[in-house]
Amino acid sequence: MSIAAPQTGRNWFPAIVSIAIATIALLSAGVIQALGPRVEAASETSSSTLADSAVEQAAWKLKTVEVGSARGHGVQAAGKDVSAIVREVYDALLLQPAGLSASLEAHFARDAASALVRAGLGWPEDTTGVRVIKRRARVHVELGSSPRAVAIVRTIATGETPSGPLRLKQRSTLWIEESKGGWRVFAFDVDQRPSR
Amino acid sequence: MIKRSAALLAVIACVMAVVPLMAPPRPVGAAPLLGGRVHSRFNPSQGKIFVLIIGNDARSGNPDESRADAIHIAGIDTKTMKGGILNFPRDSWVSVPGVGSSKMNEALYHGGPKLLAQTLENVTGIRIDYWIMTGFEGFSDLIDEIGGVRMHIAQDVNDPTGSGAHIKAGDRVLGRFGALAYARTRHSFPNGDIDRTTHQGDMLLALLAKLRRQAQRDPGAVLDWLRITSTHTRLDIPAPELFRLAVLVSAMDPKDVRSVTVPVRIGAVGAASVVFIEDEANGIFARFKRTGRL
Repeated sequence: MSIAAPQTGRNWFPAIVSIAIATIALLSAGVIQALGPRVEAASETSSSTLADSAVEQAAWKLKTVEVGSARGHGVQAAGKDVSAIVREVYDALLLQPAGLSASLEAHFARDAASALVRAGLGWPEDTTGVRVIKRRARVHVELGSSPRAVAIVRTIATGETPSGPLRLKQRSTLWIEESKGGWRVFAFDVDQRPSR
Repeated sequence: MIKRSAALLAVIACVMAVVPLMAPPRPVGAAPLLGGRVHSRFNPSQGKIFVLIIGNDARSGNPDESRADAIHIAGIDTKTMKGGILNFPRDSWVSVPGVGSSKMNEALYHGGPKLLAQTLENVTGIRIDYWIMTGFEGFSDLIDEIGGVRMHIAQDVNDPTGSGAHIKAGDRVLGRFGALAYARTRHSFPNGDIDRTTHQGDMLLALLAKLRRQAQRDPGAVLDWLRITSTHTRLDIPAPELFRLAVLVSAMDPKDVRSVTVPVRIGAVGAASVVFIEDEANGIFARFKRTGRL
């Protein structure tokens, strides 16, 4: 439930993420009322895209796992919806950080979004030439009176930072529920490991 | 997947107990786990949640008419994700509201889980948020579903006339009968009920460790747990709240949860063997209340 210490010795991958989960448990009981700050700048990197358009990025591999015996079109449709959120958020995180803020606002509970921003995930400032080597997600979906999902996401990417090439490996779990007709991430856990 | 999910069920039930039942005590049949809010309003103190965990002596049937064999308060600081399990000997001599001085376990018989919680609140000064309770049958079923629990048994246990426990010392995986027997046995140990109480706390930690391992292997198991919960327990809690709490507990590292037995001295009241809570326990209560840790 934490982000691993950077192996490069630099400290621009700060903080832990577990607070998001703890806070949200209390939020559910109405104890804490929207105390978190609104999502603001999501990344230190300001360019609209970090990748060269000529570079081919690895394709997403997405799988939906049905929980329980309720199989059918509904689960697959829900899996597609959740997968779309995963793709949008992680593509922003890795390739287009300028779009991250909007993605978080659309698909994350406010405190979870704030926690993700505070965690400082993604690339250091002025990273260029990002190439995604792997991006896959397994989405567990349970439909019923209260639809919910868990997305387990794995990504590997490389980029050129001012201090040299960097390889970024992320393992994430997103906890998601259906709310007001849409899917929303209320908690997450990310293990980000940068290496040279 | 189901086994893993059942582990989540057992541990979350033991550690968090998130089953608000607002109705008064009523017959429950064979429901393995029951629980509810102690107070109508959930109002944890600065991010700390306290849960009363009760193991009663009902062999089967209605646990509302039983006495408490196991009494623990689990605390979680949701900001630090650290916690503690405070173990109370059942024979602790305390003041039970509306009853008078009595063994602590009598509170369950006289007023159900809420009276036991009220008794403990008076003793410790800690506001308890939830209670959860299971009996012999429910506990055994849960242990069975999770595929047993691995425990370190410090000494040979042989209690043929009491709990029926017969367990060799060492690291053992206890199944439905072994786990129940080990949680119940006191004749095999020099300090009787006090040692038993400590072993129960150890078992809760062992269950949490199992949960942690399984959740780390596959976070998706939490969803299976929630699905199983709906069929094996009587839950009135709103589904979104249960989901959040399940996620919270599955994220806890058992290394950050310490089990402590309340210091007591052995005594007697009339013909009854009891234990008296030592004054030094007040410091433990205060720290637990303040930090959620032990």
